[in-house]
Parts: sequence; C-alpha cells; structure tokens
Amino acid sequence: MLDQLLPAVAAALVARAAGGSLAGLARPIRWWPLGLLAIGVELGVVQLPGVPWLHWVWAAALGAVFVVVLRNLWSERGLAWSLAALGIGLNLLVILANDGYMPVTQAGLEQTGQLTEVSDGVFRRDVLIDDTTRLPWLADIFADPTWVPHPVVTSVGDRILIAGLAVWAFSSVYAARRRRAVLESVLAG
Amino acid sequence: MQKINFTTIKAALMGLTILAMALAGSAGARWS
Repeated sequence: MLDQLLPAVAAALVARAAGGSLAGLARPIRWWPLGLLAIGVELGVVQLPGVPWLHWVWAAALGAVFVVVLRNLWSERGLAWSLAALGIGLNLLVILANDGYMPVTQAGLEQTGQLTEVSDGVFRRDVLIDDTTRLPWLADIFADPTWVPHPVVTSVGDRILIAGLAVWAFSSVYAARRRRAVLESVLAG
Repeated sequence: MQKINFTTIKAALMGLTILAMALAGSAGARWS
C-alpha cells in the first residue's frame, strides 16, 4: 500500500532538492486529529470479521476524511486540497452509489493476489463489479503491476487524491525555502 | 537535556496526518 504514497514522498524530496525545507511540512492542517482518527478506525475495522454493517463504519471514516479535506479547502482554496477533495469525493460517490461498498474488478483482484482473501470471510470494503454496479468507471479498475511489493487496485479518485497529496507535499516543502535560506545565513554568522 | 524541537515534532505530525489521510481516503488501499 505504501507505494501509493511514493508520489508525495518524491515530491517532497524534489522540493527539498530545489531549496525547500522539510520543516515546511509543519504547515497546519485544520481538524487533523479527525484525519488521524479516521485511519485508526479503518485500521481497526479491517481486523474484524465481516458483519453486515461494518462497511458503513469504514465508509463513515472515509466521510470524516472528506470533511477534514473540505475544511482545509475552505481555508486555503489551493490546488492540493481541491484535488484531494475531488479524489475522495469521487470515491465516496461510487461507494454510496453501491450500498457502501467499493466495486472492484475480478481481474484486478486476481492480478494483485487478493482473490484468496475474499473467501477468507474477513471484512471486505469492496465488492466485485457486475451488471448491477453503478458508476463502474469510478470503481477500483486500475491494478498495480505485479512487480510492485504490495499491489493494490486503485480508482480514478485514488489517483486524483494521490496527485493532490503530492502537490501538497511539494508546495509545503518548497514554500519553506526562504525560511531555510535565512536560517542558514544566520547560522553561517 | 536537549531542548525538544517542536517544529520538527509538528512537521512529523502533520506529515503523518497527510499520509494517514492519503491511506484513509484512498478506497483502493489495503493494510495487509
């Protein structure tokens, strides 16, 4: 799963190489504890055995992240939060249109080695795409190549969100370049 | 005792939050 974060990490390092400072990542995120709580809930939910309403808890956590992103978009109106809001919004849209589940292609599950997990009875947030699936083009349809360490199947929304976070990382680090230059000149005496 | 650098802690916390939100917001992510 961590390969999805590589664009953001790479963007931060490029901005650092261009004279930015990683301290720029300290840029405030409004309502951030809610964002951390959401992933805590999701991490907890996926450890539990599947019960009929559990996928709604997971969808609610996703909704909480959406609220945090909208709150920050309201304050900053930048490209990063706009992309993040669009990406999560598209994910939420397809999930709500499909009874709280994220539809996924069978080929995608096969290619990423997840098909055996489906029959294990643990919680699944996804459901196979069939003729009744609504908005299938927003579902998990892009399978990572098999050489990726932990391949996943991603959606259009996932990719837009990942792009938004890369923009956030780059702009945060790069914007701190002036502070870093001043600090270095002070330290140099 | 070395003084704690709160800017570093805050940067780490905010970076962690962004990464967590990326994972939580990405419907395709899985944790195993």
